[in-house]
Amino acid sequence: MNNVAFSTKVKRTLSQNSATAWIWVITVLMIISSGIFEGDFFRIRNILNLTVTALPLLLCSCAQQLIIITGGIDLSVGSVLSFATVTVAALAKAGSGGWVCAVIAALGGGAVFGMINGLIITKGKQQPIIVTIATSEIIAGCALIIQPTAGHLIENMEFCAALSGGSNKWMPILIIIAAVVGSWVLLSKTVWGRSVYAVGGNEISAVSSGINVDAVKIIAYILAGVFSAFAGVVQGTIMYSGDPNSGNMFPMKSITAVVIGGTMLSGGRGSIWGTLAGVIILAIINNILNLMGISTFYQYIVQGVILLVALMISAMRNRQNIN
Amino acid sequence: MNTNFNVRKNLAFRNNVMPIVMAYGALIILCTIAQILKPGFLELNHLQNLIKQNAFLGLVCLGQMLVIITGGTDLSITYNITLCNVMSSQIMAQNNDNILKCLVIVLVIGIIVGLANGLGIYYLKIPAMIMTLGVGTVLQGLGYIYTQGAPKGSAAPALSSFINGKVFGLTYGSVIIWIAIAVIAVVVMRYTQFGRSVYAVGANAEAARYSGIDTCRTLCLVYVTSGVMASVAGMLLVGYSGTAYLYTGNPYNMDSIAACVVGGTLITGGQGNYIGVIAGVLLMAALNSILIMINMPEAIRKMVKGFVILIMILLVHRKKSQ
Repeated sequence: MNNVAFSTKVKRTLSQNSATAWIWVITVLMIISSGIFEGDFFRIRNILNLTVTALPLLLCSCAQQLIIITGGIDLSVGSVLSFATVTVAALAKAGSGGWVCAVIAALGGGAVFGMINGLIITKGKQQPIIVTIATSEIIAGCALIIQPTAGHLIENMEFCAALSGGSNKWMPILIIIAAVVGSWVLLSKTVWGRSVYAVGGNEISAVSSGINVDAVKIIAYILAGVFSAFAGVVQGTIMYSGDPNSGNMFPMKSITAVVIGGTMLSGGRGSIWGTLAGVIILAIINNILNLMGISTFYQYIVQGVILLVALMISAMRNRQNIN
Repeated sequence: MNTNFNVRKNLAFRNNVMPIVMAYGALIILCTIAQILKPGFLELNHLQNLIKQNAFLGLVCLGQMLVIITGGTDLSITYNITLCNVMSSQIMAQNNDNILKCLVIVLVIGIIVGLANGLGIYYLKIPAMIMTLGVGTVLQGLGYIYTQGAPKGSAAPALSSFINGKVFGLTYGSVIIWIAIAVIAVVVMRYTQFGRSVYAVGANAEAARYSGIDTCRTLCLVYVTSGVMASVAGMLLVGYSGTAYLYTGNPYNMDSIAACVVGGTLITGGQGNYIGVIAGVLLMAALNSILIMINMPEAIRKMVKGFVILIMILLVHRKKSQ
């Protein structure tokens, strides 16, 4: 009796989260086949390298997913990331306390830029895509003012080592766990998180059920700014330097990761666990091509094909659901 | 009856004509400021140069505008330009005989890319932005693999002199191409069945289908136009710069969307006019040119550009209050 109840419960959970379940099946298959094809894949050193390279993308994708669930899109994540790397490079002086003000300045800057996005989109009644294109130019300008060219070294080496896994090699994994669990708690366990899904699903019914849509969206954009800025801080510490162009690829890459992870671009649906799988898939493609000695030029083709296949699968599933 | 007609006329004016008037107004104001700051700005020679450099963006914007009117955005433009850029320089290899071969190959690429985008969006119901992003990523990879990271070859002399020299002593080749395409685009969008069905699909795809418009054909034609414009621009850019490199296309995705929106195209679809988009392209071009003339660093140029886009969309596009 109890057993039956349990199995129906499992079935229900699976059918509710089937997109996430499918993407994890694919991810696990990819990990296993990578291990079979390349013996070096499962070395602890390789896994740790993989985590470090995937870390900024994961943080950025958390930001992007938050915005996509509200039904928008954020093309300024890359510029915020670049801004954060150059801010940290400019402010993280050697010494014990130097990194604190650098991190606060970077994250604070991210929050302010996010708030500007949110305010223009909600109060100015504009479409997120074009607003974030415009603000991304402005933020990129700010980053270029702070540091016009790449390569300004971060003076505080201990800080870099601590964050990017140089002194404690488990640090990147801890950050990933913190970011994923943090987003999950924010999105599924808080009133605000529930409202984010409601706003993305149907804005008008969210309004009529008493949700302050503007406030929910503005907070989402602020958090997205903070997440992308943190991605920039991490990216800076990985490279030990600041680069005003380091974020250029991140808007498109984060959208790719989020969509592979099963989040609907129309908003209202999506799970952080799926996005984590999306980031892992993108990281593995690059890593396995490297290990097999194939030119990384092929990674873009593989990446694009995987994105299209993921989209086809989700399109077919939707059609089945409708029928 | 009469008032009803007037209200409709006013609405049409507000939605369709106002954005274009504003774009041209902003362009005139900007040119006046430029002329005051640098008295040489409005000279014919400088204006021709300005248009020559930005005709490529103008061509790309035609495709982007059509896609935006149907309610999508084309993010494959960047990598389409880059791929065709590196391929054309390698195929041309400084030989005039290869120009025709190159043009054919480039057109085929544009058509294939456009068909892939259009069919994927129509049959698989994939959001346009993501479909074009996926196709774009594949094109990016093809560009890298084709060149192995180092583009070779350079422009055929005839193409270079066509783009950079004056044709018939009149004006630059890229300007002539842009003017020709612009005239065709305006006429097609206004007077043909295709033009009207693009607007209909953008305003309401379902309603367009019920009223007998072949949505699939319209979408495919729109994306093929976008693909062909981008790939031809990629080829012409070889003539402009004399050689190819792997980042040629990078600014074009965002710049084309920005120029279209500044020129009065509604990002949610259904509205837009190429006459306005021309003003949008010229506005961004003039802005950049002025800032360079008064020796502003790249940082300030980017910030000003961002602010101008924000101001223009806040002035022109207000979502109708519900």
